Amino acid sequence: MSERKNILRVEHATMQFGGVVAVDDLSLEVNEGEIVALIGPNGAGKTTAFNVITGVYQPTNGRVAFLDETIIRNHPQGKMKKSYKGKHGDMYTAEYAPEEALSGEALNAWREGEKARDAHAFTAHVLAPTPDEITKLGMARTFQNIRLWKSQTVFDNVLIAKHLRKESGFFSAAFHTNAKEEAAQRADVERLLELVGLSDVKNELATSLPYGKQRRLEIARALATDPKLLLLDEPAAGMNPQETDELTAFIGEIRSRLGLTILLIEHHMDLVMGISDRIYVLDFGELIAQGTPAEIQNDQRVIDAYLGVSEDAEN
Amino acid sequence: MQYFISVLLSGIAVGGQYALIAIGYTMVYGILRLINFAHGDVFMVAGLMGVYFSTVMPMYIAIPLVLVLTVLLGFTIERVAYKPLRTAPRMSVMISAIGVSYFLQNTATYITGGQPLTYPVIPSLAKTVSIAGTPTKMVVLITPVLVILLVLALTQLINRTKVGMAMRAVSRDFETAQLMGVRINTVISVTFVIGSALAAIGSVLYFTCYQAVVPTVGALPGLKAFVAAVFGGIGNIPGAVIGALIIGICENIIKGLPSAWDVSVFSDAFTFALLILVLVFKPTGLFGEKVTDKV
Amino acid sequence: MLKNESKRAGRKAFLGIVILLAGIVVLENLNLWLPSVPSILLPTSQLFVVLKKAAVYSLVAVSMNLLNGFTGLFSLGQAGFMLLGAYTYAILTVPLSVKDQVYYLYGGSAVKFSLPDLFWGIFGSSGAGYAIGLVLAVLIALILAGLVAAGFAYLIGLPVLRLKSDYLAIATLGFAEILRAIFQWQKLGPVTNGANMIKSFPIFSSFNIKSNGATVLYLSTFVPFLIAIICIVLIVLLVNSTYGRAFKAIRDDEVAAEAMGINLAKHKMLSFVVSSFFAGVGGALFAMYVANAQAKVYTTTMTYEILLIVVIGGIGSISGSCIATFLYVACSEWWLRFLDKETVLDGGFQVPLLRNGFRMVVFSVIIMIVVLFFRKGILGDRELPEVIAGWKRKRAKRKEAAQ
Repeated sequence: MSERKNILRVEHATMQFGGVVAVDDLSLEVNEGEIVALIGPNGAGKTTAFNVITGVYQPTNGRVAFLDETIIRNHPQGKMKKSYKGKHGDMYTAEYAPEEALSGEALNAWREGEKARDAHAFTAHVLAPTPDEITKLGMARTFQNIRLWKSQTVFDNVLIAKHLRKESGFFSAAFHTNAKEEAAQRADVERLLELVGLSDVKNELATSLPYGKQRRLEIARALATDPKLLLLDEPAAGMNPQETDELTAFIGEIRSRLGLTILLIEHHMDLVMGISDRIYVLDFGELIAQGTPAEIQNDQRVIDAYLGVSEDAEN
Repeated sequence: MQYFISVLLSGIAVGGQYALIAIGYTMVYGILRLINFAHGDVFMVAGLMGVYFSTVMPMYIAIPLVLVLTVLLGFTIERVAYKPLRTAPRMSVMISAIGVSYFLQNTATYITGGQPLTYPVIPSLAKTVSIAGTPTKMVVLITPVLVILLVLALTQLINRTKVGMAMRAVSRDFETAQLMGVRINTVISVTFVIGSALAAIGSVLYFTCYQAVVPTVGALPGLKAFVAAVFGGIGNIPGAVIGALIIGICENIIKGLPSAWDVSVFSDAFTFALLILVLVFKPTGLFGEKVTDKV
Repeated sequence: MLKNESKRAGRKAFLGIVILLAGIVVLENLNLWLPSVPSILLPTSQLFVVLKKAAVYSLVAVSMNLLNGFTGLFSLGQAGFMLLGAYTYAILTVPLSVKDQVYYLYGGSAVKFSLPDLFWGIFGSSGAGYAIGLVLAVLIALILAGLVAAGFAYLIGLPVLRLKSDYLAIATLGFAEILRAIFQWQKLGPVTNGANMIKSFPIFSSFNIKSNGATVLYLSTFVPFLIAIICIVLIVLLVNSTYGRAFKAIRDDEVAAEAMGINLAKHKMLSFVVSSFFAGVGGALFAMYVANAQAKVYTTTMTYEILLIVVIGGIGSISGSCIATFLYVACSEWWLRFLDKETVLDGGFQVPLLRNGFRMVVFSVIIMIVVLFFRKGILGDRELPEVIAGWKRKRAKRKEAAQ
């Protein structure tokens, strides 16, 4: 699509809960340095898509590649195949579970080809890493309903997120012989808190902060994991227009200062239209439009999807 | 053969008695998501009351009185120890349950002076009858029948009455049921009342079979009944009964194995091994429903 | 700046511990050094029973707090891991000379060696050699006791740590019960002595230094204190390390912890294994305290007792657990003993209610009051230094306001 390096590629992702298809055949791409927004009416499946990308849910079908390596992959098989309601089920069964379609030489050839294409731990057809493994690869998220560690201070909330980047082993940590690393991590945290403007409250309890600052803290915490891709789930939820403007500027700033790529879910159209390079629109789990902010604003299907709910969408 | 029948019969009997306790566990868990560790001790207290009352009054008055007082005990425990913790974390409520259990056991030790008491013989239950040439106590026959009748009655109650509907609503979604005007506290009290009543009936049957009543006598049947409830899928009443029967029978088979193997020491451990297998391989139990956590 | 502060706090704590240990040694030897002492300071006094038991229990309580309070894993398997520790210690340290006597029902032990004899073989079995051998043997046996408990915890943890709070509780409780049954199994008699107790192994009073049959230095209270304190310090260090912080993150919000790259399975397992290691050491110390190892002692009631101590002290507070243990043990073994005695006052008035068992009733009422009305326990989730600092700040403020 563009010459920029691809960071995230979601292909035909489908998430089915029982009979409900929450995300249906979603494909999207995020390239290096972009800010991409995922929008849609309430219940369109945006957060579910996030949960699939970050490993909280295992998709029923489809695959996710990060930095050109497949990290998540599944296909409807066995029991699921009968009750499968998403689109393109056949395609994924054929492409990624070719035992049924191929045999002998052809199957082996396919396997070799797949190995060559897929550098990331090719063991079986299904790849379902846990969220922490995905975070380690360089993808970090925030939550729609803030999930800070309640009994911890602001400083410790960010410091804990540094845990996954430690290099010292268990015993050297437990006997406190890793002072150098500990000091470096603490310095990093100070810098991050400075960046998000929370240095003055670093010793407060995280939950004692006002709402807007808690959101910033969640972003700081995500940044502490050294992500290449940051996923923000409704970062401006519950904020007033002024706070939203500040947040818009802040997101732009962290992108340019840290060289981040950002995928965000948001309802505030000012924010979305103001900073996004590209936008994907979901409705009832399906992708109904994609393009630049200008294209999306003029797309009839998007207008239809939002018509009547535009009041809600402003919340 | 005769030996086998007698093992099987006593297995069914003890299983039925566990079932009566297990129903209390499964109903409380279904509604409050609480392992009511004190439930086994309520059962023990019912046994103690049976012993004491039978010395001063005839059995046909004593048993109903035990029933009423046990129900009152269950109701009071809920009001005093669990209700104040409705909004507290689950761990706190469970600790409170452990505290109640500790209290009941210690009080029982104090009152009895730590001496084992002997449960009175109820002639109509203890009468010896013969089935397929195997002599056995009447209670062994009555228990399964009684359990089936009670479970049928309970299912009717839950499926047909208004309070039953409220129970189902609360166990499905506590908050929403509350918002919809279901009187949570009444429903929970009813649950404890039913559970305690069944435990009291269970105590009469159980102690007719095993007559020694000591303060810790409720702990193990209590835990086994809980395992039965998990085994059958927690919150599911027929499931709990089937689970209890399986545990009762297996336990008696193990006890009945040749003494040279010396495995009877494992008859209790077996229950827990079963529990762990169920939790690991089918955490929802035999008939339980799957719940997905929302992120 | 921060580093210096933590260094200073560390030095302060170290000094405090040294003073405490020195105080214990002085306390238990006053009866030797002074011409006459009040009966409370005699070696047979209830005071020393309480101190020894409390030292042992505080280690177990702190190890349980690591799991329940700091990692948020509600486990009720503590007694089981103590049992493993107690038996490991006992089996390895019964001296060869008394083995046949202890295992007479099974015609001797299947374990043909004994750690003390092993070291006495190297260092000699008299004088300094005896002492070195004893210390080394006990030390190694304690560590092995912890390792065996930790190893079992690893195996048990693989399947059960995936379970949610109350299921985890009941599953761990079940494992403890299974262990208890296995250790009472007659077929394992040559190793575990079946349902009978193992005894005659080195206990706390083995560390009293004797000369010509008379004790010249009592160390039987000092030893459990020393071991418990070392273990608790290790736990405190762990809790304040990056791993300890990760444990707390899991306790506060599992989903967020996982999303921030904390591997739940690995960290829960770590906490479980470490907690069990110290429970195992605690179990070995308990065996030394009661001078025997017998499976039927390590019941669910024991776990409940420890859990209640943790709750009274404050879930998530190590100093709280220690304080609560001393209060609990002192009450149950000493201060409330009078409740168990029928008492007739001078006027011939018999105090009502007082008779055997009343102490435990009062005790459980106190516990219920704590659970229901003082849910945070003595210290909540804070540590003693924080609480004292808080008081000081408050007092300074009040002074300021007064001026």
